[in-house]
Amino acid sequence: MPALIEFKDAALGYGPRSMVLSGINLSVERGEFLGIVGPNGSGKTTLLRTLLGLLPPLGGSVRIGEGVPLRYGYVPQRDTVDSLFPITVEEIVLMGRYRRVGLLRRPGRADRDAAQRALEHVGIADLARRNYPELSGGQKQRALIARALATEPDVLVLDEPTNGMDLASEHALLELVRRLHLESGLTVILVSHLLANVANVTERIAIIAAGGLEVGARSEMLSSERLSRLYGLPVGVHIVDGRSAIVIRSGEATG
Amino acid sequence: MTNVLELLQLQLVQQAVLAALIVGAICCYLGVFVVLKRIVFVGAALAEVSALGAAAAALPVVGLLFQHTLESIPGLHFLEHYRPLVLAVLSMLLAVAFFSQQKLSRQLPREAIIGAVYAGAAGLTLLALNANPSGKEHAMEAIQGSIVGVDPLEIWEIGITAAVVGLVQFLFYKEFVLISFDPEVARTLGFRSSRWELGWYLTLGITIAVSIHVAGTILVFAYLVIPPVTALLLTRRLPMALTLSVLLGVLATVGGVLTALTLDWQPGPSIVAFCVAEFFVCWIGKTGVGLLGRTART
Repeated sequence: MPALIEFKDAALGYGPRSMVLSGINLSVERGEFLGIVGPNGSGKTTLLRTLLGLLPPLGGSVRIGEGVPLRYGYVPQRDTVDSLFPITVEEIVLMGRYRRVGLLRRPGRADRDAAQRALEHVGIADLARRNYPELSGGQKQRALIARALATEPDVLVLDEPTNGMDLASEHALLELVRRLHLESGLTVILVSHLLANVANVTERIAIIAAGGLEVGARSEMLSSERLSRLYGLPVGVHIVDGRSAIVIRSGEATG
Repeated sequence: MTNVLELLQLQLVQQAVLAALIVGAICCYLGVFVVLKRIVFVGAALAEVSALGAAAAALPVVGLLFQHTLESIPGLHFLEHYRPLVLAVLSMLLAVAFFSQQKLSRQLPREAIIGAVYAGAAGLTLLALNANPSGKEHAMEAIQGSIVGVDPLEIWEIGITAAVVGLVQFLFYKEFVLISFDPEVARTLGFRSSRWELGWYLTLGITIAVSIHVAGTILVFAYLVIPPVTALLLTRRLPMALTLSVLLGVLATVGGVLTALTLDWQPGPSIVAFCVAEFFVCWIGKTGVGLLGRTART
């Protein structure tokens, strides 16, 4: 079975003079949960935009979908979404249906039902009539995830979903995404600059470093040696209550 | 009062009220999006660029070029009568195309580009007016508008424009809301955001270009900003904000024109004064209600 998304020796960027990443090899299988991690400015957004089909590759090959275009449920960074726009949660979630609704038509009963189901999935059905600007950070993120789910996506893509959240909200949100993946077998791609965010929820991890990408199973990627090499820092990986904790070891130099 | 009622019987005054109502309704509707998209100064810049087109129309050399162009294209000769309007629309289209250049926006701050266009257009408009003293009055009228002197043909122009723009806004309401709220997600959903954005800017630009011909830059800019801001102060629901903005614009127009007739003021500034008054009344009222509510709770 071919991969859902496949990058082969791809060069990514905004033009021949603005190449950000090169030699990228990455495949995403249907039903998997992939985490993409990299420090700020490493090229995560460039990779994400190419993956979403918003940016053509500069070289190599990028195949998205198995013959038919993929339907993405994209959850952008919360800060990029206008937080003053006078719009209700339900109206936002219905936006996920607009492609299906088509031009010159308004969302119908089936679309409202789908939006309601998406809201129930993320646990904020009671907030449907509330105004988006009045919500907390965690609630806003759930509303944006509900919109992505309302598209009935092949792949759910989340860009820095826990930015600006407190510890409890961050944990609850990541658990929600993990549950969505486990319950429905949804393919999920989670992009974050925090390795700790993806370390305990994803199955495979792709780390962007030094203009390239290394991908592997979680256990394979979360080794002190590999992380120390990729980040150029002495990184320690510890298991606490069955979860991976990643720390920078003080007073050590990398080899 | 009798005097005002008598004045309202005059066809000239009726036409002025009708023109201002049409301009007010369509500009106040679009203005809600202008405010929400944070492009208030794009509105001002487009108005100034349209004014430049209208001012340039009075220059002899531009007139000759325009006439020559029309003569070379069969069937367009009738546009000679609409030279200021046509040049205002063309200038606006150029400005819209310029503003939509993504590459430029990546190199320079967006507000700097808008500011440069605004200042440049304002300066060139003055130059164009000074270069043609004989046509100065005519050009000034084309720029500043003259609601009281509006003729039936101009009412048709603005009426048809408002009807077409209103229909486009109604038909593509959900797409325009989506690209205004979250253009990136719109793209992932398969909408070509830049094209939709361009389409929306065209409806705004055409409305501004035609409106300033009738109502002038200051009144059009005021309609685009003040009633929408007042409406957004009063409600957090988009459909309600759009409705309220139009109603506030209509109310300010009627109040402004009646006041102008009573006190022998100019209608345009009088309408602007009413828009400002509406804002302060609503703001003070809302603040007062909030204070009363908090006091009652404590």
